[in-house]
Amino acid sequence: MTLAMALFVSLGIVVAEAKTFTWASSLDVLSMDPYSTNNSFTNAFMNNIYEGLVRFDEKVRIEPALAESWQSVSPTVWRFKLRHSVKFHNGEPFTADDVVFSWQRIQTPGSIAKLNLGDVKDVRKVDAYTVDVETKAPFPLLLNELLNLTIMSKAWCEANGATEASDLQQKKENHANRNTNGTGPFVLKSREIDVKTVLTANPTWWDKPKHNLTEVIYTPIKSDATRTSSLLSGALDATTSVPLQDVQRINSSGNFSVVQGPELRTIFFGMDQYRDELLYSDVKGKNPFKDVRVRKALYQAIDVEAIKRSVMRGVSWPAGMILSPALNGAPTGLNNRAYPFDPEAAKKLLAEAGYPNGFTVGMQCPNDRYVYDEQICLAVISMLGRVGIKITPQFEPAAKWNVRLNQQDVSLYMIGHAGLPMADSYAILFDTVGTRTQSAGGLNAGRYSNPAFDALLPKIGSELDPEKRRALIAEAVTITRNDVVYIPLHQQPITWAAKKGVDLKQAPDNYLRTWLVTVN
Amino acid sequence: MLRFLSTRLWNGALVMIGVSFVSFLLFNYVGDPVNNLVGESATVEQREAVRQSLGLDQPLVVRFVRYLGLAVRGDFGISYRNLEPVGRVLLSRVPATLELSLCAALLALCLGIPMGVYAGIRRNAWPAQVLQVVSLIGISVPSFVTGILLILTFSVELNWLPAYGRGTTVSLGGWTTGFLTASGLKSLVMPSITLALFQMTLFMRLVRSEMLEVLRTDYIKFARARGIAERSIYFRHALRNTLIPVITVAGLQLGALIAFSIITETVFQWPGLGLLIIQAITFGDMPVMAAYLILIALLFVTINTVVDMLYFQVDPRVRLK
Repeated sequence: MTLAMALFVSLGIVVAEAKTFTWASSLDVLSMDPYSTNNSFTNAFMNNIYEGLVRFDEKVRIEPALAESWQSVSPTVWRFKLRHSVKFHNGEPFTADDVVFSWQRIQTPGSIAKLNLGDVKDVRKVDAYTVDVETKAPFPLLLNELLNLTIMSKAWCEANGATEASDLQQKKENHANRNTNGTGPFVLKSREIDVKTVLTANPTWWDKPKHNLTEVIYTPIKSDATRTSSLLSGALDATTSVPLQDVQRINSSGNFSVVQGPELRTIFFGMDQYRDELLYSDVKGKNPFKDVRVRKALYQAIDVEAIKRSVMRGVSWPAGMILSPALNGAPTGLNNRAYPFDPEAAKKLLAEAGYPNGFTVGMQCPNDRYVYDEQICLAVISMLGRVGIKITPQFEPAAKWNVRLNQQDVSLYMIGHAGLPMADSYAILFDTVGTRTQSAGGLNAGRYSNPAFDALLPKIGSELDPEKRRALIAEAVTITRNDVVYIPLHQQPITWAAKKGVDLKQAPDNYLRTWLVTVN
Repeated sequence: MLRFLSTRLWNGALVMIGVSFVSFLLFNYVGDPVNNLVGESATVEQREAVRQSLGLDQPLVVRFVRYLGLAVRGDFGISYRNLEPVGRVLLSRVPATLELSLCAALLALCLGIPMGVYAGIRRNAWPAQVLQVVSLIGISVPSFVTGILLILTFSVELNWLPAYGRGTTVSLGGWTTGFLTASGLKSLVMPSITLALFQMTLFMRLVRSEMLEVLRTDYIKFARARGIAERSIYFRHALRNTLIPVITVAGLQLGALIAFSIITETVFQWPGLGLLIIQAITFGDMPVMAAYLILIALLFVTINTVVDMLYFQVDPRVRLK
């Protein structure tokens, strides 16, 4: 022991100094129970503590995590070899039993995370370090879906009466709602809701850490101005969800810089294409949006470049389809604008469709959901005004706007989709374009319905060959472009800021992966 | 006195039931918590299942009666936002808000009343004029502007005070206090000023105008004629008679400080009730909203009852009636 110490000193090896990383965003983590919600910020944060069989790197590519390797046994059965010598934070070893247990726990009534695992049929133990995952049908996205099955400890959950997910119906709190025991890069040290959550680096983590942190302090700060000010005052090392108007100020401060990149989220406008009489409109007895010429006229009346210039302060990525080109399977060749900005052509189309003087319609926009959502809508209102379409604005907080979307109480509405948590193209097409039924088209508030499109969905959902799958997705996207199902605007920016010398490894899914952060 | 009190309590109970029902009605308009729980990709079926499990598909009246039944027994349900018992969530936020409101109220009363007395007595002196002008600013500038200006000056530029939070707190038998640590006290400064500013100027202006009014009355003139010392006239006779409206307003304002510190708490990320309710509203966290509104109604009813009883002490005429 003394000898070893002497050796250390003589070789000049210095124990790394403690590095604390303090960061803020606008929301707090909802629960420490990874199965109790499906809130994307919570999911992202919980990956510090709990890990799945696979994980995303900063380019949202799948890499092995608790599983070392996998192979397909049959079209519906995948075999996963688990990593040996992984330990939970309390020192228990990780085995196949924990995987099977986690699968069972995520099926319990209170679990909301199970919504993301709809294609998995069963998880079976083969031996202590091997599990088989069976899907309901051949399913190409199993790995992406398994990102959501974070592994909890069987023994720990049983010892603490937390074998079921936190359940709002139970009216009592679950042990796992405040306490954690994962395998991840960080260990929960303390948590005060809406004040701060403190994590310390896991000294026995199985992976070689890319981060150099010893402690992570997360503080939610709701007010944008306060968050930016706190950063500039030096109290924080980094903030996410930086308002665009603060970018200039942060960059000119000298000690801080902004990191920006395109988010996976695409923002677009939807139109009611179902009702026989449009809501909130002066057109009676018919629905102009059922006519593709009218939809195309709106498309051509909106200048996405002008929105980028004057609303988004130059940081948006104008889009030609409703899915980000960075998503898995996205047909990148179809991201050019399908029709050019041309108000004259728009007026002509409206006249052809029987509305030479335009018409009046309501526009439903959230005002606290997307980057500059309200401002974008205001800009679009003035653009549409130039071709004769008068808008009655209906701008609301997201909590209200969501209700409208769910009840299809819409006429012309803004919406966005990021294809998360799987970061794949399929979810967007399935949610927003697939015919709205009890089990599909959950976000298709305009209720567009096209059998040819619907026929493509199961094919995309089960095609195992990536190239064939990409071709099918391209076919589906082409339908949405030709039919002007939606009017895509852009990918919005992710805006983070940090002290100089802090590398945040920004990812397009807007998840801050603390285990990749380095502080100098 | 007893009869007076029992009428008050009866009125109070009616107010409470009324408030809780109205607040329940309002929940129909604040949005849907289901979306925040299930995420954007959920299907209609999945949303409905969650809605049903929360009992949100039931008619409003059924939900209200069920809620009231449980609430009477002290069970306010589970917060949708962080899955904790609502009672515990609310109680854990009370110390932060009470400490902040207390500091703000003391600041407002201890500065506002003397300033008002001064401005009333020496109304033509230039400091009194300055106070009048400054108080106009205090009354008209919204508190988020004051808060942000303070943050920019004292956190960003001078780096003297923290921009957010309560600093280090000490737990004394379930009550977390910021009074016992240096960082806790430093954190209190800016939020207290921000919250107190409006009330302070309000008290100042109120006391000033009441003083002016009272100083014009006959009994003051007679007191002067009898040769009573000025000091005694101002503080024993005049000030005491200005206090009735001041107590009324101060009582209501104390309630307002606690209930409506929402903006100040949001600006400074002060983990009190105000921040809690604004987050509950954005999330659609109905159990927390309902319990909060009942708590606030209770607070106002209590304060007003106490204020009415204070009249008894201060104004003999109330007793005679």
